[in-house]
Amino acid sequence: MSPELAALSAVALVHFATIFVAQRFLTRDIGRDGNAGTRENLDDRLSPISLRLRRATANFTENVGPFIIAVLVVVLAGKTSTWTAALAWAYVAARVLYVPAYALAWVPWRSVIWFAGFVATLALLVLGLI
Amino acid sequence: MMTPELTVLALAVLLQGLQFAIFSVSAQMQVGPRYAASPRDEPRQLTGLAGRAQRAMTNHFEGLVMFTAAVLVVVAGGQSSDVTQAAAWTYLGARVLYVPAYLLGWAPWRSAIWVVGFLATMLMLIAALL
Repeated sequence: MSPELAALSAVALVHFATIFVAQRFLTRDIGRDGNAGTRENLDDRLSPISLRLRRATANFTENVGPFIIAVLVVVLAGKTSTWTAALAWAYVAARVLYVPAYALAWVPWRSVIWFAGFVATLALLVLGLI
Repeated sequence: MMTPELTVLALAVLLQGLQFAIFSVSAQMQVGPRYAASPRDEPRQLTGLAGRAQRAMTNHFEGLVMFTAAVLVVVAGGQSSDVTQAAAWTYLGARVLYVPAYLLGWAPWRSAIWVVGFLATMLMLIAALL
């Protein structure tokens, strides 16, 4: 288990935690029945913080794909190093911070934190390719 | 081991990095950096070039996940062949062309290009399974 794969596992756990928190707020807004129901016009019935957490989750879903690829490339290509381990864990840290940054409207830090994760992913890929 | 499929996978993410840059610049020109950095509680629909750039990027996030699965099955399963390598490069070529096809509104060629990338992904998976 390389540090990069451990970081990938941690990212999945962070993702689950984010979904869990978002769902707690969703249930607070529309109740268990609303959660289990078919969710017509969902956005109209949710509070701003629930919508922020759902946008944070959606952003996570988009960006985890490239991160999985970056880890896969580095590990399968045998290019792991202290740098790649640090970058992978930097990505984890950025995604952890991203959730409160979105929910609590840390402007412009949410964008800065997102960008740190994005750069970490691209840097991992470049280190895997060269 | 760095197989050609894995190289293509890494390059596909770098392409997505470029697509993000196109999206980010065009979207910020439209809504302004202040709104972009805010929690976006009032949804704003991107139009014109920025909207196209966003839809092209979102589409590639979707396509990348399936392509990642195909590369993983081929590489981890030790099924790399001339067919899977050609299919991987075909996927990348299609995704590169998809960007101007969307931005410049090449209809129906954008859809045709998308189908090429989709079929290349499916071909890789089928070739690995056979």
